[in-house]
Amino acid sequence: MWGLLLGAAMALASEIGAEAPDFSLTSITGQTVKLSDYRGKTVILEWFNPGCPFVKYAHGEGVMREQAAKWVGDDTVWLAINSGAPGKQGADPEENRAAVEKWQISYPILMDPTGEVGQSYAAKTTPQMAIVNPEGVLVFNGALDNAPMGKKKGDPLSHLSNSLEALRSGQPVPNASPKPYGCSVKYAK
Amino acid sequence: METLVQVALFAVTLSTGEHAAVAQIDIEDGWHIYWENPGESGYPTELAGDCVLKTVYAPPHRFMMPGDILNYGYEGAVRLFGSGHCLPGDEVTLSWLSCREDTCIPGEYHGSLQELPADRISAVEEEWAHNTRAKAISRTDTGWAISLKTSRHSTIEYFPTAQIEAQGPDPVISAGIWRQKWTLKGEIPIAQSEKVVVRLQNRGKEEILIYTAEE
Repeated sequence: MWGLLLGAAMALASEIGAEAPDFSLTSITGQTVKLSDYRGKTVILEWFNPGCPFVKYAHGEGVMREQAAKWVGDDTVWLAINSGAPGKQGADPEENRAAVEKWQISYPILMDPTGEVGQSYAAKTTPQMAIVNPEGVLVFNGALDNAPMGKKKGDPLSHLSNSLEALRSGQPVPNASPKPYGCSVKYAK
Repeated sequence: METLVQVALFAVTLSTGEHAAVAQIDIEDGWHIYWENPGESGYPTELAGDCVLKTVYAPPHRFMMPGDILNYGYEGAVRLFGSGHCLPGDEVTLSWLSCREDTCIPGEYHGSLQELPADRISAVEEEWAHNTRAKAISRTDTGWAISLKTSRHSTIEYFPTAQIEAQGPDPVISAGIWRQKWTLKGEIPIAQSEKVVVRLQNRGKEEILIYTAEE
């Protein structure tokens, strides 16, 4: 019960339709990246943990690379965020560098070892996706799709693609917070 | 790494006539596996095979992961079942995600069902009855309400399978009646297979109640 109440409290920090929490994080290549640098563009955020089996699947046999290839462009940026605490699965920067090479990830991996940014977005799982529109508003926060480990229940549904398509055509996002799946984000506490 | 979760597989014909598969699972200390609704992260444990129609779950426990992430699942020893038409010799696979606070590792165990030893039959029968005996409750467009008689010494934990949220204050127990409403979250309709498992502790005695949504 407390978990449900606390979960609700966390969600208020990053409500759909509210301003997306700004952040300034360092990438594994030493770049400082701020969300507000990208005002005017659509920003896709991906919660990442290279040790998590769901992330391994999504980047290995799954759809992550093709989604990034499809959506990243002049007006759309993709940032991965690792909110795992030092010592926990997938939190070692070396492991993230190796993953970038192995999975040919073309976007920055930002390290959030205190978990503050993850908490501000109520990031519960890896993978979890968020979309910030060009005005800086959070318009989507939840599951990538309906196929954890590629196992779909019913017709395949890419929540990420459906949301981005809706935004492109000026339509409201049909399902803005589908329950995310995956390993828990490996927060410190 | 496979020794994190040890599995023994059996087939049993219950007094109901059901031919069930039984997975006796022992989980390494500090790790847990998941219920059919894993909670805010994780992945359900599943028993699959030609003879299995679906996995029948034991009542879960709650685990809070760092970051206030709520999970529903099992630690230590637990029995899960497969309903269907399973006989000794049939092959099944148990698959799971095992997690600890800092890491998650998927696993699976494939084997053929042994005949359940006679001395375990009555315990298994009781558990099966426990896991499958459910009260149907009517639901409204927005969810369910359940009332339970409680005392000052009661504690209640509940576990929904659907994506629903509890309405009202935290169930701080006092003598009398505990009423809890659940409302649907988002636009996901409750299917007939959705249920709520309630663990009611009253003066050291535990009762498990299972409620299923009826149309």
